[in-house]
Amino acid sequence: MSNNTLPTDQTGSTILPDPRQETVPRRIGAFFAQPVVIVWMIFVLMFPLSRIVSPNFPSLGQLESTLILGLFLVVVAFGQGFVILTGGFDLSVPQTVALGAFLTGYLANTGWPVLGAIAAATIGCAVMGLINGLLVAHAKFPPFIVTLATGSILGSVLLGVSRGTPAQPSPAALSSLFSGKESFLGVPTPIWALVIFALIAYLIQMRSTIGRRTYAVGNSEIASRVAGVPVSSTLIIVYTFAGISSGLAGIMLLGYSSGADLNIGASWLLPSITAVVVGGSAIRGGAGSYVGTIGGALLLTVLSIDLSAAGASEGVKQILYGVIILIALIAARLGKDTGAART
Amino acid sequence: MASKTKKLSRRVGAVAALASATILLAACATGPGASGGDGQKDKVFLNLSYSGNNWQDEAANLAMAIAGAPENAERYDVTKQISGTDVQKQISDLQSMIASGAKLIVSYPLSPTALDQVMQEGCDRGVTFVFYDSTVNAECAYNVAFITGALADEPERAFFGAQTAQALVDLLDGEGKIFLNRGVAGTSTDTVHFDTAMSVFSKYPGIEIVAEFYGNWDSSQSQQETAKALAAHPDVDGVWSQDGEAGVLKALEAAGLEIPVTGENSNYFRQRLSEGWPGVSSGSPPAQAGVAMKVGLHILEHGADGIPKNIEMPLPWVTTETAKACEGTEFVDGCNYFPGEADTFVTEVFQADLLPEASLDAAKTGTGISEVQDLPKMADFAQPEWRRIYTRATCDEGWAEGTVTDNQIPVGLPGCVQ
Repeated sequence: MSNNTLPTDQTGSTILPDPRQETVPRRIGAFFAQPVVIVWMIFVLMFPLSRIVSPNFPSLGQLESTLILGLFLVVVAFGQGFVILTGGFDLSVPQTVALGAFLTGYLANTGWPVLGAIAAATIGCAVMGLINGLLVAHAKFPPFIVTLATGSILGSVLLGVSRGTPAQPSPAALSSLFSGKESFLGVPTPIWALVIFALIAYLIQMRSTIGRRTYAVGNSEIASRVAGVPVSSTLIIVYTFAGISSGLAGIMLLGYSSGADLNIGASWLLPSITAVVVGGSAIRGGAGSYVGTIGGALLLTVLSIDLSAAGASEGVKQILYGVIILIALIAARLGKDTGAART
Repeated sequence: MASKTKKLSRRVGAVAALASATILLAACATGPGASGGDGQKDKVFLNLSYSGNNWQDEAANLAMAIAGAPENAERYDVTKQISGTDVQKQISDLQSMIASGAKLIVSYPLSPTALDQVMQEGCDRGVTFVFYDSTVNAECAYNVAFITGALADEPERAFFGAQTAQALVDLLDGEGKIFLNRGVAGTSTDTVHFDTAMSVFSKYPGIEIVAEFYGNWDSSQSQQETAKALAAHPDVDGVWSQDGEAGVLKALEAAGLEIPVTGENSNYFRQRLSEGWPGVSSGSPPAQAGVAMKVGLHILEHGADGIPKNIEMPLPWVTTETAKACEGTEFVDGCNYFPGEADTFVTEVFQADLLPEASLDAAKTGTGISEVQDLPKMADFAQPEWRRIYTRATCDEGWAEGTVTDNQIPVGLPGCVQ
């Protein structure tokens, strides 16, 4: 693959180049070639480019809408991205989102205090994730099939349990927090939620032990096992986190829409996977940054807003949406290849 | 490695065996003649496709409540089945129902044409089919639908899309920028609403459609799509919406706007109307399913005489002036919404002539109707021939496609002419 053109010393060992001697342009080039950076660059580019579709763009309102509407995708894409890191998929996202919304609304409506309802709903969704994790880790079934099945079962259970009242109202406190009408220090409260969630999620995925183990397992289960990484418990924890993040998205959607029915999660599955992949994570696992995922999620949201403003028919919108995602993926691939060629 | 594959394939084999056993068991349980003897009670099926939202739930409950009323319960065995959104599954479910000896199938069809073959099988065996809200083309089936419906007190004014479009234009005095919130792309319902609305909007050069999006008849999606459109057009003057208008209102409120909105029948919308929000509430009544069940059972009891194949539900119509809260659980004194219900509760569960016995309870629980009123003269509710093409895709004998200029407002819509 590569001829060893590096100098050797007397003993025959290679003298590695001193990184500090790498030229600045080369390092800048390597920085910008990373998929994470590319996706954020395209995201930022969407704003001046949006002038093409509307004389009212770019605007502060556009940025605010992007962050408020992007919150749900950022949350859902964290769980999905965490699972994708391990080489799996979580197809139970729509039903877990619905579970989070349904439980919160239902409990709050029967008299539970809001925080109690939220906590109970989060625990319920964590249990859902736990079940997924156990089936994937111990029964060793492919995550694709497992989560498809559990999601299906959960969906049916919710349908049966909700007879007559599939739509749940949202507790007033939750609505005021997520509807975008309230602001704190001049910034709408959902944007604060985005920042707080993103920070916590970043720390979990990129700076914690469980995060490191997840990367290890995603890269190679066998090597991880040999190295002593507890693969099973790592997988279980990852899927549990995925369940929690889907549930939280459901709770936030319940607040935003001040009410939700069982289909509240239906439109979030494919976008969650798209955000993760556009954000630079490898679809087979083992590589990817949550910072990239956030960028992917926000890019998809602003893209949707800009396309909406373009006033094009739905068919044209869908085509453009697909084309721009392809461009983002190709750019990320080119970046990766360029980056690899430099090493 | 090889042993691991063997273990996996053994596991897969075990699961496959378990799955087949479950399916066989289920099939036996619902097979022909399996449920307690034949000839005792006729079998009636309520077959849903979509589910999980208020509209579908209320519709199903009303149908079940009618079928569960004492006078019907003693003669008919009613089963509700949800097929989901896969049309193949609905076809196979209908086949199973026919095979198990169904006499009546009341259903929400997923496609106007895909069920043709299974319906022909059923009709040949004497099964009565009644479809509600969404329509089918097959001749032997009955359609109960509001899509082409007209206002009860002005029967010339037809089509939800056209009438609400005209109302919006009137509220805007003929000029302004508007959003269009459509339903599920590709469905005939959405297409008819949109086409008839556009036939009105195109007559007013002062009306500019600045954004068109698909809320998919879902309040939360409509809210998000409206929020996105508002980012680019904060100066919009009005919104024409299909189902999901509760979400449209919420997005407008978050942006601090109170502009004319026309939509369907959600509780939240009617509540805001009664508080002064400019607009009109019309659209699809869940009562259709109750009416469909009544019609079907009437056919089983008294035969098909006097029941037209194409039944048109009158169009509900509630404005800012006429929106009024109901004190109890009935539509009395001109009240038309229930303050205690969920935002997305669809209020049109009554129909004064066709479904007077409905109640809020029936819509929420599927029980509670003690006496079923007789149907009125159904010929009064027959769909006029000139609108046939919208629900059956063809015109009746002796009629052909053309432009309808008489007996209908808006004038000049495509239809059937003699």
